[in-house]
Amino acid sequence: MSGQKFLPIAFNMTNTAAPKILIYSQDGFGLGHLRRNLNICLQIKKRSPDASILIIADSPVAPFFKMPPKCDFVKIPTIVKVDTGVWRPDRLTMPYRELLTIRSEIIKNVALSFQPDLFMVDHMPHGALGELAMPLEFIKKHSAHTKIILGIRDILGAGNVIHQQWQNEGAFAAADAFYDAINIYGCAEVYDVISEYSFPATLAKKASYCGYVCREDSSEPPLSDKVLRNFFANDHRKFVLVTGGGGADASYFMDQFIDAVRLLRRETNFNAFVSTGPFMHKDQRELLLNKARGLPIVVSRMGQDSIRFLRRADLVIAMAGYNTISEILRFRKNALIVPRPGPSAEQTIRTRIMSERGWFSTIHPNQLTAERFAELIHFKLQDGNGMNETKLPDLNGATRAASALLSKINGSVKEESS
Amino acid sequence: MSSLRILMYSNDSLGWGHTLRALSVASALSKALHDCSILALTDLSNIGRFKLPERTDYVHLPGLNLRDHQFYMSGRLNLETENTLRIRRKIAQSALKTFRPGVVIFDDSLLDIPSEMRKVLGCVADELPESKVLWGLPDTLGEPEYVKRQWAANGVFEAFGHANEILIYGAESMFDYASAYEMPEPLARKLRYTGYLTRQVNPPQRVRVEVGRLNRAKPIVVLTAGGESGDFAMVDAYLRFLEKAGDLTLQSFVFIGPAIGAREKRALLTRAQRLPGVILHRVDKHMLHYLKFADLSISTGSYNVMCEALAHRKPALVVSNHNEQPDNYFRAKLLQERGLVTTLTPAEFYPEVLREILSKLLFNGPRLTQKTQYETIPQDGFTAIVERVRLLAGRHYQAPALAAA
Repeated sequence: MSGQKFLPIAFNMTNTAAPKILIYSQDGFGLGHLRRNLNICLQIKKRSPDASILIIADSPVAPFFKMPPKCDFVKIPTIVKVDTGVWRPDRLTMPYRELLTIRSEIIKNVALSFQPDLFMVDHMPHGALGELAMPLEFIKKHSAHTKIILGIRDILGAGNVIHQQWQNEGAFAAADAFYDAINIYGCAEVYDVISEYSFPATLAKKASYCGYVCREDSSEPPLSDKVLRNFFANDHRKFVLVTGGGGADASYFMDQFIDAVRLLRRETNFNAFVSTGPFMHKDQRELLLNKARGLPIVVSRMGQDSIRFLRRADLVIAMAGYNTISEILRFRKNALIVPRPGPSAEQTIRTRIMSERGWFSTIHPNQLTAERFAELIHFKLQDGNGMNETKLPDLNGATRAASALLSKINGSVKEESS
Repeated sequence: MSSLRILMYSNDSLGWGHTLRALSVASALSKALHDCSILALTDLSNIGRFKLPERTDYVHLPGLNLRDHQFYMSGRLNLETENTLRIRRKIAQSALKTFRPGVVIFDDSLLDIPSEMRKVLGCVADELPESKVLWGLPDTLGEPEYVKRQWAANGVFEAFGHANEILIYGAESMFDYASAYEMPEPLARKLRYTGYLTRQVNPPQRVRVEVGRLNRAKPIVVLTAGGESGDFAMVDAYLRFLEKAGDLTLQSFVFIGPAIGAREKRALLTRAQRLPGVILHRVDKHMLHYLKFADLSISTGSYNVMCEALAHRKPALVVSNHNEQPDNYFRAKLLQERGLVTTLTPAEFYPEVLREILSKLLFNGPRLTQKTQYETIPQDGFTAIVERVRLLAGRHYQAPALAAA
C-alpha cells in the first residue's frame, strides 16, 4: 500500500500520560474541515486510544459526524464567509469584529485551560480574520510545551491569490512565528503547494506532504440491497449518487441533474440518490423534491452515512470538495465532477489537474445543460469504471498525518500539567 | 443604544430536556423581543441537530457525565473531572465577558454543579454588575427534605442571592417553592410563577405523515422512556404487555433513550416488528410532537413531557422511582393528587397491571380527568417569561421601531 513506507516507527503511548490534542476547525457553512479533521482523529485514536481530543468548531450543525471516543468539541458562535475576505455573524446581530473577540477569547481560554500537547490548526495560520493571533501568542507564552501544527489541504486556491492573501493578511508571518510544522494533506506531484504559494524558505523547511486524507478504515460497508430497497422499488438498476457536500450551493447542478434524468426518461436505467446536505435552503430542497416526483430519484438530506452511499454507487456525480474527491479516489469510483466555479479557484484547479490524469470526468458548471449532462451520464454509465488508476496519489493521509502529529508529542519532553 | 443580548445557560448530562427547554424559551424571546441576540451555553452533544431560533447561536461546552445523581464525572475527554470543569468555566467566563449580555438566564441544571455555579455567578457579579440575572426552574425540583439537603450542600440560597428574579415554570397553587423549600423571605420575594411552558407549535411534517398512516379508530399510546438507565426495563415491560395483550387493539409509538445499547435496541426492534401497530424510535428532537396525537402517554414524568400532556389534555401514566428521579416522582405525585395523571413505580409496571390501567384509561368508564381540572393549571409560561425579560431588560431593551407607513 502506498504511503506506508513514510510512516514513522510505531508509536507507543504506554509509558506517557495520555496526549491532549486541540484542533481548530473553522467551517462556517460547511463540513469539510470538520470531516477531514475527524478522519485524522480516528487514526490518532487507533495509535493512541487514550488521547483526549478537543475540537474547536463553528459549524452550526457541529459535530454532525459521529465523534470518536474521548473526543469532545467546543462550538463557538458561527461566522460565515460571504465573499473573499468578507464575513458576517451567522445568527447574532452584532458587528463581526465584536463576534471575533468572543471567539478569540473562548479559543484562548480553552487552550490555556486544556494545556494541550498539540494544537492543530486547519488551513488558516492566524485563523479566520486573524482571530487566532492573540490566542497563539498566549499559548506560546503560557503553554510552552504545546506543539503548534498547521494542516492545509491540497489546494486552497490559485497560487498567486493565496500567496498574495497570506502576504497581506500576515499569514506567512504567523506560520513562521507560531508553527512547529506544516502538514499538507495532498501530494507535491498533484499540486506543489510549497512552490505554488511561494512559501518562504523557513516555512518550506517545516512543511511536509501527508497524502490525501479520507476515511481509511472500511468499517462502513457499502449500502446493502436491503437499505437500497427502502428507497427504490427496482433495486437491480445501477445506482447513481449525486452529492454536493454541505449543499449550500449545490441546488443548481442538482436541478440540472433532475432535468437530465427527465430527458433520458426512456433510457433511464438507474436509480439516483440526490443528497442535498444539511445546508441547502429549505425552499431549494422543496423545489428539488417536487421536481423529482415520478422519477427514480430520491432527494434527501442524508446524514453521516454518505460514505456508504458513495461506496455503493456505480457513478458519483459531485462537486469537487476535498473530502468527496478523496473518497472517490480512495474507493476508485466512477465519477463526474461539476466544480464550484468560484469565488475561489480551488475546485476548478483540483478538477482540472485530476481530470487531466483521467481520475474522473468533468463538466464546468457554465457549460452545464440538461442535454450535455444527460449525454455524459449515459456515457459514464456505459463506460463502467472510468477511472485511470495509474498514478493515483497517496491516499493514506489520515494515517500519516496522525503519525506525524503524535511523533511531535513523543519527541518533546512532556511537562506535568497541573 | 445597543440591542438586548441574552445569555442562557443549561447543562444536559442525561437526555436533552434542559437544552430543549432553553431553546423553546429562546424561540419565544426572539419572536417577541425586537432585535435581541441570544447565546445559549450548553453541553448537549447533539445540539447541532436542533433548529435554532432566529438570532440565536450557541456555545458548546465539553460534556460531563452524571453518575448516581450526585457526582459529575468528566465526560468524553480523558481528563480529570476538575480539568474538564476548568475548561467549561473558562469558556463560560469568556462568553460572559465578551458577549456582555444584559440578561442572563440560568437553568436548574447549574444547581447540581456547585463549583461551576459559584464561579460563573461570581463572574457575572464582577464583570457585569448591571446585567439582570434570572433563574428558570421547573414546577418542582422534588421532595422538600431531599431538595433542602441538596441546596444546603451546594450553597443554592447564596447563589439565588445574586438573582433579580427566580422564575418558576409552574404554579404556586401546585407547588409553593418558598414554603416547601423554606426559602428565606428576601429570596421568596424573588419568586415569579410563570405557568407551565406549553408550546404552541405545529408538529413537523415527518410526525404528521407518520401519524397519518395510522388507523384513526384505534387509540394511540406514546411511550417515552427518557434518558435514564431504567429505559430498557420500561420498554421491555411494555412490549411484554403488548405480546400478551391479544385483543387490545392499540397503536404505539415507543421512544427509547440513549442508555439502551445497540444490541438491546436490535432485540427490542425485532420484538416490536412482530407486534402489530408498534413503531419504535430512538428519542429525538421530534419526540414531544407525537404527544399531541396520543390518547395516552406513558413516561417517566419529566417536565417537558408533562407540559405536553397538560397542553393537549391527554391522560398520562407516569412511571417513576423516588431514588432514580426524585423530581419526576414528586411532580407525578402532585399531578396525581389533582387527578391529572396516574402513577406507577417501575416495580409495579408489569403486563397485568398495565392491562388493567390501560383498559381503564383508554377503553372503559368515564375519563378520570375533567376538563376543569386542566383549567386550574396555568400554562402561559412563555408569555410570562417574555414579559419578565422585557421588564427587567431596562435600558438594554430597544423598543420595536414603528412600522413605516
